[in-house]
Amino acid sequence: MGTVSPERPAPALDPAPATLAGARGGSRLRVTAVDRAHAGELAREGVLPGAVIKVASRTPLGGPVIVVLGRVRLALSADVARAIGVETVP
Amino acid sequence: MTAACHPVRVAGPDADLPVVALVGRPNVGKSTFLARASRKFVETANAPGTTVTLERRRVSTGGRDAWLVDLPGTRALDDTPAGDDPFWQLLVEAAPDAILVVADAGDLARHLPLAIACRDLGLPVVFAANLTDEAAKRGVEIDAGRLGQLLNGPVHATCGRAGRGVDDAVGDAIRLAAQRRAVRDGTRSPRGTVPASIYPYGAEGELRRTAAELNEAHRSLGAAAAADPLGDAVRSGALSGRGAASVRLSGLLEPLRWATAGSWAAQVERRTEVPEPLADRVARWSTSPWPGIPLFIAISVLAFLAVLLVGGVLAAALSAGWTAVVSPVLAAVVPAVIPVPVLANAVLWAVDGGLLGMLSVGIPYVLTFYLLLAALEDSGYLTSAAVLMDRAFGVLGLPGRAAIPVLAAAGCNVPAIYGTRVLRTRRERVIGSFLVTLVPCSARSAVVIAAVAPFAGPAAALGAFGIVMGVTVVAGLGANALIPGRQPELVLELAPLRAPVPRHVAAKAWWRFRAFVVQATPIMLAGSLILGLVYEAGWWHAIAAAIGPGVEWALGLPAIAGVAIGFAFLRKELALQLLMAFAAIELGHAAALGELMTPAQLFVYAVVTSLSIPCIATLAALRGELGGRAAAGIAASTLALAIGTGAVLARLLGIA
Repeated sequence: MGTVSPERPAPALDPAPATLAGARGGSRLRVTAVDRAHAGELAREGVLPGAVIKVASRTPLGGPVIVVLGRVRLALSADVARAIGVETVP
Repeated sequence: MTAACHPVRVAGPDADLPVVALVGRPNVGKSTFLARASRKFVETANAPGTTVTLERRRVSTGGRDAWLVDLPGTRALDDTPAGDDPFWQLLVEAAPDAILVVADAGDLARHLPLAIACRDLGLPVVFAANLTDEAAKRGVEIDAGRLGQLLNGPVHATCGRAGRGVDDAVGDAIRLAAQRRAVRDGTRSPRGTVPASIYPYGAEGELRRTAAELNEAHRSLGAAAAADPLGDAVRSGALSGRGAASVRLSGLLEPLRWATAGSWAAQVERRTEVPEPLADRVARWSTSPWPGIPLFIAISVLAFLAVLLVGGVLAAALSAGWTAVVSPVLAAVVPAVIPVPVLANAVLWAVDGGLLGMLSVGIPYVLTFYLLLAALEDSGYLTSAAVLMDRAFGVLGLPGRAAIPVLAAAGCNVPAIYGTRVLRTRRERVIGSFLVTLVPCSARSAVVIAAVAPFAGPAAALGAFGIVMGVTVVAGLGANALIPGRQPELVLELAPLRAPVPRHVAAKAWWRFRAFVVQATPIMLAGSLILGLVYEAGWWHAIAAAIGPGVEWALGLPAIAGVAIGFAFLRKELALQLLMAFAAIELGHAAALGELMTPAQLFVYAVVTSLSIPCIATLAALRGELGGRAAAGIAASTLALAIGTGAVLARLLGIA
C-alpha cells in the first residue's frame, strides 16, 4: 500500500473509457460498464459488466454494430454501442 | 383499471380447467411448441415479437385437460414485448396455475434467467429445453436431470419441430397446474419444497423488505387505488408479495440471475467442437456489408421479379377464365334482374369489373407476395436484412425493419400497410404507412408504364419512377422532421437462420390473405359500383366542368384527365381505361392516349396518378390500422404532394 507500481491497473474512473462504438470488427472484448440509461435494456440481452463479447461486423453508414454474445448475435445501434464500456480480452 | 383486473376467463364447464402459460424468449419455437401440443398451427414468424395477442388452446395430455396460453416472447418479466403493458401484466391476465418455460437448449445461459424470474413469482415452473436438434448441430448436449436439481423443478429436453418431448413437458406442467389448483381450492394440502433462494444475503434482504412492504400496503390500503400495478396485483391475490417484489427489484436481481444462469449452464452443458453450421455462416454474412448488401439486393430483386412473374401468370389465367366463363353469365343475368339500364350497368361494374379486379390484381400478387414474405420471415432472414438497412432507413425516421413493408408496397399497398405492424411505435407506423402509400403499387406502376413508355419512351417512364421515388424520400425526410418524437435506439437479437417450415409459411400467408380479402372485397365492390354509377349516369360531365379550369391551370391537363385522376381513387388500375372511356364519349369516337394528351401531359398525368391519394382499399387499411385522423392526414399529404409535384413538372415541361 502507498507505493504506486507501474503495473497498477487503470483506475476505475478512466477519463476517456473505451466504448464498443470504437471497437474494431473481430475484436474480443469484456464489458466493463454499461451506461445507466441503457442498463435495463442491455441486461435483458445479457450485456452485463463482465460479459465477454465479440464484434462480428459493423454495418454501413455508421449503422448498428453486430456482436456475438455466447450463441447469439445482437445488433446494437451506434448510440447504444457508445453506452457500453469495454476492455480488450487478450 | 389495468389489464391485470381482467383475467382471461371463459364461462362454462371449461372455466375450471387449470391454466398453463407458455413463456419464453423470442425465437425459441414457442408457437411451434404450442402447435405440437395442441395439434394446430398458429401464425408464427422467425422474428422477435410475432405472437402479439394471447392465444389460448385447450389441450389434453395423459387424460388431463388444461388451457395452454401462448404469451408473446419476452426477454424479462418487466419487458414490454407487446406495446405498453409489461409482460408480467399479460402473465397475470392469463392467470396461470403453472408456467412452462420454453428455452433454447443450445444457449441455456441466455434462457435460464427468465426461468429463474418465473420461479421467483412463486408459481410451479416446468422447463422445456427446446430446439435440441439445433443445439446438437452446434455440439451442445445438456444434462436435464442435473438442471432439474438446480432448478428444483421438472426439466425436459424437447424438439418442437419434431414433436419430441413436447407432450411430456406439457403433461408435467398440467399435472403441477392441477395440483396447485387443487391446493388453492382447498381440496388438497400443499406439498413439495420451496426452492432455495439463489440471491446473496443483501439482495435477499432487499427482496424480503420489498415483499413485506407490498404485503403491508395490501392490508392497510385495502381497495384504495394507488397508481401501482404491482401493488394492485398483490391486493387482488394475482401475485404474492415476494413475487411482486421480485418484479419490482428486477434491476437488482437481473444481473444476479444472469450470473447464476451462467454457472448453472456451465454445470449442465456438454460441449463438443463442431464445424460452424452453414446456417450460422450465412447468418453472419447476411449482416456484414460484404456479402450482405449484394445478397440483400439480389434477394429483393428476385422477390420482386417472382411476385411480378408468378402474379402476372396467375392474373392472366384468372382474368381469361373470368371473361370467358363468368362475364357472359353476369352480362345476361344482371340486366334481367335489374330493369333500369343505368343501374344494371353500374351493378355490372361492381360484380363483373370489381370482382375481376379483385381476382386478377389483388389475389395473384397479394397471395404470392404473402407467401414469399412468410418464407423470408420464417427463415429469419428478415431481421438480418433489417439490421443491414437500419442506417439507410434511419434518415427517414424508420428502423431497418421498415424495408420490408416499403418494398412490399411495390406489389400492393394494402398488405404493406398491414405489414407496418412489424414497426414498434405509432410514430414509425405513421411514417411507414405514409411512405408505403407513396410507393407505386403494381397497378400504379402499370399505369405509369402504359401512359409514358409508348409515347415518350422507356427512359421517360424510368424518369417518372425516379421522380416518384425522389418525392417519397423527400416526403420521408419531411415526415421525420415534422412528426414529433424520435426513433428508439436499437438493441435487437438476431434470429438464427432456419429453413422455413412449409406449413408455417402456408398457414401465415393464408391467415393474412384471408384478412386482406375480407377487408378489400367489399371496398372494391362498393368503389366499382360508385364508379359505375358516376360513369353510367353521366355525372362526370358536371364534375369535369367544375374542376376543369383548376386542373388546366395547375397541371396543364385536360379536364377529363382531372376526373380520371380523381376517380382512380376508387380503382387505381383503371386510371387509364377511365381516361380513354371518358375521352371516347367526349370526342365521340374511341381515341388513343396519344391523341388525347401530349407526351409531356401524359408524363405529368402518370406522376400525379401515382402519387395522389391512395386507392380506397389502401385508405380503408390506413383507417383500420391508424385511425381516421391519421388516414385523412396521410391522404391529404399525398394529394398535396401529387399536385405540388405535378404543378412543378407542368411548368418545367412548359405545359402550364
